[in-house]
Amino acid sequence: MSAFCTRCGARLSGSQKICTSCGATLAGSNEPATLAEASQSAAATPSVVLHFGRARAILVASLVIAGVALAAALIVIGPKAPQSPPASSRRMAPPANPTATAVVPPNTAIAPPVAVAAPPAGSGPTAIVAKQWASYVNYRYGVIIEYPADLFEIQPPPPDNAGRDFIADKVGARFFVYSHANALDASLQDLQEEDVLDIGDRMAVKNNGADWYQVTATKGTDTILRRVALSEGGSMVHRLEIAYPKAASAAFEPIVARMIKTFRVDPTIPEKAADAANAAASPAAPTSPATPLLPRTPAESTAAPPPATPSPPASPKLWQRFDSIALGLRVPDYSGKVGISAEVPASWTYSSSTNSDRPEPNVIDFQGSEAAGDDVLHILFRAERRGSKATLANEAKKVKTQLAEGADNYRLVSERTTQVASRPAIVLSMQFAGSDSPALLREDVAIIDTGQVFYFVTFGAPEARYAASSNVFARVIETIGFVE
Amino acid sequence: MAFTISSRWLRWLLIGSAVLIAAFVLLVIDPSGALLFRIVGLIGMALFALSVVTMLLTFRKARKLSPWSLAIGAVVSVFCTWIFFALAGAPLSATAIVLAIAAGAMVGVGWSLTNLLFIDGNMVRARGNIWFLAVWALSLMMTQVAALAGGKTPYAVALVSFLGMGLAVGNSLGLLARYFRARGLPHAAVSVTGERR
Repeated sequence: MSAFCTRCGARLSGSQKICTSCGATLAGSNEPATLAEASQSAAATPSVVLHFGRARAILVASLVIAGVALAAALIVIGPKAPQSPPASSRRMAPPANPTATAVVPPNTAIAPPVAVAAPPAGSGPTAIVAKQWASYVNYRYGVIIEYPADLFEIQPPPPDNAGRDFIADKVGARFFVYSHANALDASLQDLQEEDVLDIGDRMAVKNNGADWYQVTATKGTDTILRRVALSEGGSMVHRLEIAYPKAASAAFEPIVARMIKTFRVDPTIPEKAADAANAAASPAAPTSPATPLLPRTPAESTAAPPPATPSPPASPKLWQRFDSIALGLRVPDYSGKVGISAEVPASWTYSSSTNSDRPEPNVIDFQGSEAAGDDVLHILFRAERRGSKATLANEAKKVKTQLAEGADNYRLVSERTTQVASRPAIVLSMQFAGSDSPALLREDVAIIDTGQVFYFVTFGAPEARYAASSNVFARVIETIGFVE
Repeated sequence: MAFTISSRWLRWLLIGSAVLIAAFVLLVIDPSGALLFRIVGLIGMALFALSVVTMLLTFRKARKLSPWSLAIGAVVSVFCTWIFFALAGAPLSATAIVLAIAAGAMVGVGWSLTNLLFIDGNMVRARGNIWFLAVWALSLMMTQVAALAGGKTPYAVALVSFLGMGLAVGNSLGLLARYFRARGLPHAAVSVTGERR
């Protein structure tokens, strides 16, 4: 018996018949009889034969090749990843003509129509077909996106024409495009982290570029893709959110890939829209038509007309500035100056709490007129005298605790220390379930420290309507002012 | 009765404590967790490279096969995948899931067949050969290519996860079957893998 394996050099004990390091039969094994017993055939030499036979090699190769081929087929059949960043990294002119949007057929050579007949689970036999692509253009912010007009139905515009909702009811999908000011001067990273928290999927896939980011996540039975592009040096935020059933991923991902590829901000669009509007209004306007913003190609002239676009309301006044002094805001037992002013949507109605059973003279509330009950949008201003040891952080903690203890499924989406109208402030964004229904609600609260008085600005919305209406809160924060 | 901790457990306890403290310090430095996860990512890459080197150096080394460790490996793989997708939701159809698991299982069973099993005393041991290494490299490549080609979409992540689960289960079950077949043979040092010649 050798002390070391002659094949691999491992140290051996005296009784070993096999090297436990490499498995080789040990030369000079002195127990052939034992090995012989192992064989029931005289022809079978009792030894450890570490030979990989041809039959086994063929079997292994067949299994592996079949497995790899099947995996490759799944990769090829499966959806491709959305990849391209938005085209715009340039500065965008300030909104010039906040009245018009358009839906026109696409004007560039683009990928062929996508037609996939893979219905989502539970949605019946509806085929997901995207043959007729159109462009949605927001002339106020210069945002453009192509979308399948035969799949998504465009919804009426909001009063401020900040974007648009699109719904595909039959296949359970939707998307929206909205723009708003970056009132809190949040960084791209902050916004992305908030979006991940907002969606609530810790496994969300994140992609970033110089002035954009993307979050792909799952929420319940839906896949949610949220893409955000910044413009004007980060002062404007443009959001695209697409939601579709996970079960229909294979059908939707090529559609989504094309949509995000065409989602971009063109800073020349608002300028051209303003020029066109001025030219049309001028008495000396030329008789020739204005240059179309998106010239059509010959191929498009034969295409089916795009769906009609509902015009935004012709209201000349989208925002109204309120003054709390005129509305009688006061803080009980406080003789100092109290006053707040900001712009709120012109269509929203002022609701004085002094008419309620529990009058609160320090509260001013505005409500959206589109819905009622838990579905209402509202913004509330509250002034409170500073306590002896009150700090901004303590006030924020109180707000969070109050909501966490009084509501179900409370979640703090973000908390940011910032400045509002040059005053120190903390802005909270929270999610919770409604008291009368399990529907999720969203509340943004800005707590502003003006010295002797704390102002609380609370924006509330159903989670489903939050993204499309969050520009209201941004506008309020952007335009807010306090009495000196 | 005196409570004693063996030096082996003490060592793991110290390592675990050091890791937790390091993670805590990183979270204090960067509360967002970005720094922690970046470092975890770098450590993961280093461990991945180390595992490749280790495999290249030791694939021929005989290792003891235990039915419990094989079964636990398969069960843990299924359990973890199930928990993950129960929480996150699987963006794959049932057919795609079954096919992905089947694809992984085929490669896994093939990989298990490349092990050279032999009985050493009361133990069943296995060692790899060049086929073992080749299939391992191919399976590694398969999951990496799937992840790259899929572009980190939820579909690709789920596909790779189910492929990996199928591979682990196929390999474990294949080795288990061969383990019991080896135990059933007459007690001797006999290869149950290769052909006799």
